Amino acid sequence: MELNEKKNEQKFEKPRYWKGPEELNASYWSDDAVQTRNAQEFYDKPIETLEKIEAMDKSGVSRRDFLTVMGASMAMASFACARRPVNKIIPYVVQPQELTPGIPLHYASTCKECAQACGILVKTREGRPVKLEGNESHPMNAGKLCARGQSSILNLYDPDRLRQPMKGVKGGAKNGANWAEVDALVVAALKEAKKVRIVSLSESGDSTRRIMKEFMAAFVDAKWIEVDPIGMDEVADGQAESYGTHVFPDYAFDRAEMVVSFGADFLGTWGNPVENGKRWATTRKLAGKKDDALSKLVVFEANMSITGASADERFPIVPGNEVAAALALAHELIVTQKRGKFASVQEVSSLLSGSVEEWISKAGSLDRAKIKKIAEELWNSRGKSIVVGHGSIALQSVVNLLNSTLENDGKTIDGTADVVGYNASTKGLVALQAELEAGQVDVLLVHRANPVYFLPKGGEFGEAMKKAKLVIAVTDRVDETAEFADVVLAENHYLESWGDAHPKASLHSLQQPTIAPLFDTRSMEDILIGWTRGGVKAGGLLSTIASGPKNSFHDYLKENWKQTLYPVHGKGKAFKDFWELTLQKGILESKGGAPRERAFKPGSLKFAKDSIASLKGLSLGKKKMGPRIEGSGFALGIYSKVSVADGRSANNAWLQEMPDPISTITWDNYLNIGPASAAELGIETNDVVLVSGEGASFEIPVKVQPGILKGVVTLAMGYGRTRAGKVGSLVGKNAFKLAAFSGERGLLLNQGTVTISKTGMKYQLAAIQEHHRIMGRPILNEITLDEYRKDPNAAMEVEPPVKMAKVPTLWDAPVDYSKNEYRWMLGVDLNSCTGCGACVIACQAENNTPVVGRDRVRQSREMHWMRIDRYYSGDETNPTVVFQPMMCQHCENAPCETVCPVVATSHSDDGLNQMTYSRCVGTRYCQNNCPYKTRRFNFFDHWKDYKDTMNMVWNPDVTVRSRGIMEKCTFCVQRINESKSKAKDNKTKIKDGELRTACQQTCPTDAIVFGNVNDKESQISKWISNPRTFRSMEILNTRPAVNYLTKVRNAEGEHHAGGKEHGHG
Amino acid sequence: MNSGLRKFALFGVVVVAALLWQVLPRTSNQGYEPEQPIPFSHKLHAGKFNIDCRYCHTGAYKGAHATVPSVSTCMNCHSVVYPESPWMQKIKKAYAEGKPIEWVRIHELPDHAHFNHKRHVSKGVSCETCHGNVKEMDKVYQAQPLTMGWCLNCHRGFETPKYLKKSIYPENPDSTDPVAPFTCNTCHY
Repeated sequence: MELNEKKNEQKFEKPRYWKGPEELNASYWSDDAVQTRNAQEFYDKPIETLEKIEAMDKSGVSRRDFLTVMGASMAMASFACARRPVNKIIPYVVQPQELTPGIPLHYASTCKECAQACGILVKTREGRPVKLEGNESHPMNAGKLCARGQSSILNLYDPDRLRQPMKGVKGGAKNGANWAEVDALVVAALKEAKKVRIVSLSESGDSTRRIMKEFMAAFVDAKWIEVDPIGMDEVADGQAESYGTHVFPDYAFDRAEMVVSFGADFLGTWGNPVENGKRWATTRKLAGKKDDALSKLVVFEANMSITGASADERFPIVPGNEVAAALALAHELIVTQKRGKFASVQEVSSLLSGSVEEWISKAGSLDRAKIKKIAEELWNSRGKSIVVGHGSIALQSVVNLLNSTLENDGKTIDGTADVVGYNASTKGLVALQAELEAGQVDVLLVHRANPVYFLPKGGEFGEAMKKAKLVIAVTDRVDETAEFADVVLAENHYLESWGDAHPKASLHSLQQPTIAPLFDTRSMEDILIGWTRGGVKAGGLLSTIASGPKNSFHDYLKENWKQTLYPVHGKGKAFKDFWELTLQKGILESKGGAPRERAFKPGSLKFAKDSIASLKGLSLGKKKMGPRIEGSGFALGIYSKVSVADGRSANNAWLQEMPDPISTITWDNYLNIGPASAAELGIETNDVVLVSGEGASFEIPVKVQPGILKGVVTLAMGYGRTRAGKVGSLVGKNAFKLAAFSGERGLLLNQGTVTISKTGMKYQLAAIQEHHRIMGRPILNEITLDEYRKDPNAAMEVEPPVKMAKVPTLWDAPVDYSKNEYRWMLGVDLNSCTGCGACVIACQAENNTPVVGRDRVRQSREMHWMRIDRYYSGDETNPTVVFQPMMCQHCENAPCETVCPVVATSHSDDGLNQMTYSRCVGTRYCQNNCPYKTRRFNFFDHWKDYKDTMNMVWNPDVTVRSRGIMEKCTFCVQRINESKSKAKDNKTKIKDGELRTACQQTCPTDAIVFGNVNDKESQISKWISNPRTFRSMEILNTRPAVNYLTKVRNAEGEHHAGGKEHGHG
Repeated sequence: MNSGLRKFALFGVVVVAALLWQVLPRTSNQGYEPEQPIPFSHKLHAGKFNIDCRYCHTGAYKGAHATVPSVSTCMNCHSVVYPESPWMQKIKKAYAEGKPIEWVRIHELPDHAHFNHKRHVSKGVSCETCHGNVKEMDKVYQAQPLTMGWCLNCHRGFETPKYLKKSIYPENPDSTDPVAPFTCNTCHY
């Protein structure tokens, strides 16, 4: 303590890396509570736990009672295992020819978790899907998947899924029914119906679209409304206004030297984040030479997203005012610098003649000098840059102007290759609600969509639904919208159904069932065929198939492909061969045309002109609260998380427990508020505030989030579901209730203003990174491109040093692994890691890591084998962010191994730190001694929570751990052993790239590489010789097997350290 | 301490030890010989008729599990051979109804130990080495302890059967060098 006090007297130096903005104040470090906490060796328990422990002390259980009970239970426990259970072997009656128990089968299919429709390979064991991986030959995702895609397999086994159709739901009866009953009921209504409305999620499959249209042909007035609360349709709307074609263009981020994003979180939630991430990351690899190319990413955004975190330059702005920032940039480029062909176009310059000061202040006081520089840089990389934006047509028109000025259109932006799947928006719901209220709709069919949940006044929509003669919901649970339906038809999971997708103009893919339906459910398309068979007068192929002997959607799908795609793509092949080959590959690709430039219509800029006047700006008046949104209150931005997204899979426990990449918080949403606003309001993280908007108000905990403008708050959507199921119901608060809704533009997520008042209550958010402290240790490293250009080795010359020439040691000479056949190591490129978290979920799915729940995360008992640590540096108003995936480092001099009293953890010949569950007695010494905090202890039998069908998700190749056992990352040793076995069969060694860990396999940006360093040609060997390579806390002489590649930010000067490390710890 | 008390204490220790012996789980199931739903005789099939093990246990050379044959495998022969037997009636019924036969598992390793048949079979380990002389067994029982020590004694080369030593170290069949890996994660993961 004395030492600490002495240090406090010294001048306070801000730490280089910090986890929360409070760490930047001297007063934080001198706070008694903090000093006590830092002096402790272990993480302090959350408040509630301490209260519980206190209560337990008073409960009167004496030591003697405790021993009695323990003795008795031990005796009982011994009796329980006195006899081995008699287990059965139940072979097949007729074993399928392709199947050998214990050997997995893979099927190519299509992920339908969201509208992007990435290609997947479904790994099945004994007829049961156990893991999803990207389809390597798919041109979009090339073997990669996002966290949502990885976790969608858990939805298949969700025990809360509907197991049969229901009727009488609206009246609250919720009677289970059989299909014949509900079909008869629906068909009777459909035969009479004239006006039919269908509401569904976005659907890109040609066959599904065709069957839907043929079904609608049976009615006088039928309309199909595709809805998506995140709505990216405005990009296509903007394209239509500017270029005359309604397309979502293909963005070649891999060819862009510079990317400017206005609120588009393209690495996390915008467009196809897997494809975007994969492409963008190819421009972020540095092989170690001085003149290596590195792209630049500039982001203007309100909320701190993972795209903003990966940005080289980030501008916090007011949510909804992206267009003002875009206009300021366009003005600088076209008017001031007179660049491009539009500089002399009257229509353009008249628009841009407006007040730049006003735009700059409305966007959020942008730095004009920086804007000037960005404009110059953009011009220098014209034809090789991309500008993207998320939101209004007004913004899109300016973005399109910028792209056309910079000659990007036709080069990096391909407007001729339509990316399908963005037809959905919420616009159509206004008209539908009016029709419903007028009682005009005979039958309303809602397929999976959940407007009652995501509309700000969803309850009113629900009431309006009651006025339809018959409301049918086709979904997998009685959700918020299905509550208002007459019949709820239980739908298959996508892994149980046939289907297809058409994600891009030149790409078709097939979706095949990999398991028979678990329950008495049907696919949407089969339901439509059933109704047609029942007597609904549908047209075209639907009626042909329905009246034929082969009348499933499988037959329909085949017939549709035979009619439409086979004649074009199957020349010279029998249809059977064409079909089977396509099914095996999963995709059908045709050659798209070369991109060509389109003429920009300056007329579309009128949208920007119209909107700019109505934008609310930050008022800089001398109000007590400082800069606020005009009028009163805070500007609210509603964003989508990479995990829960729009809340459609809110009942997925993997997603709920996936830490948010930025806040590292699990299980809840929270109001993000900038440090400046928080200081003024006198609130801090975990304080509960009352947030009130136009339509709703609720209490919600606060998270003080660096990088958010003063006067701005942000809130994640997808939470606050009321009918999601046991896991997802009543988790967090429903942000949609604070959104605005307009008939023209649908749901407006970034237009609201809210007021905030303190409640004085506390709510502990379950954040995982708060469990660990940095203590000024050299955990990670980051430099600027400037430094790198001067000397690629600059990465090692930082303070405190990440490397030491000679480390003092008590150890004998390190073990020589070079003679062994294999020496496994992992590399993580911090430069291409976007923090998306796909690896975390892939690891969870592969390695049977359980979900523990909010309370246990608060107690730092989460079980994820890998986590993504997020470190801030620089100024708290706009910090830079580094993500660091952290898993067991497989140290050669492993601190855990030396303290294990039973040798349950030891080192293998190929350099793995192995964990032998059967030896572990649970002392937790290893966990305490691990400097990386990557070991996880099973405080409970978590597997017991995987009830009912959930049991089927376990990977049979990995032991399911029981209570009292330590566990941690194994480098996917089951995959290593499988590959070794294959190599032995072929009498070879494992080749580089043949064996991939689950995290590496799914990483969209190829930021993780795993391999054998004794093979000098392997990719990992090359990474290790990269001058950017360092090992976390190498100075501890743990000799980790995980190699990190220093983050290089495309910025000038030196990495802005706030000074040297703070000395505490 | 007087001798009476000492005897009493000794008696106590014996009683406690005996109780523990009864109560605590066995580490090995050696000798386990349960009744099967159909008294299938390996002595007859594998012994007298000399049917190859792999005719029924098809997985042994393909993957981790040797696998117990499906009902259809029995029917390959028994649709014509000895069809009138009551046991065959049972098989036929199972086949017709599509209801599998539930055999009682004899050889079972704990969940945290992964054993791969293919690796052993392809290295030349004979079935009898671990499963005993099945050809002589009317009713199959667990012939070997199948404990970790027993596994390791072979892997480390201490008690490796001679025929394996010969095939692995043809130059020096008396070697006591290891014949297979024995790091923990060979089996435990």
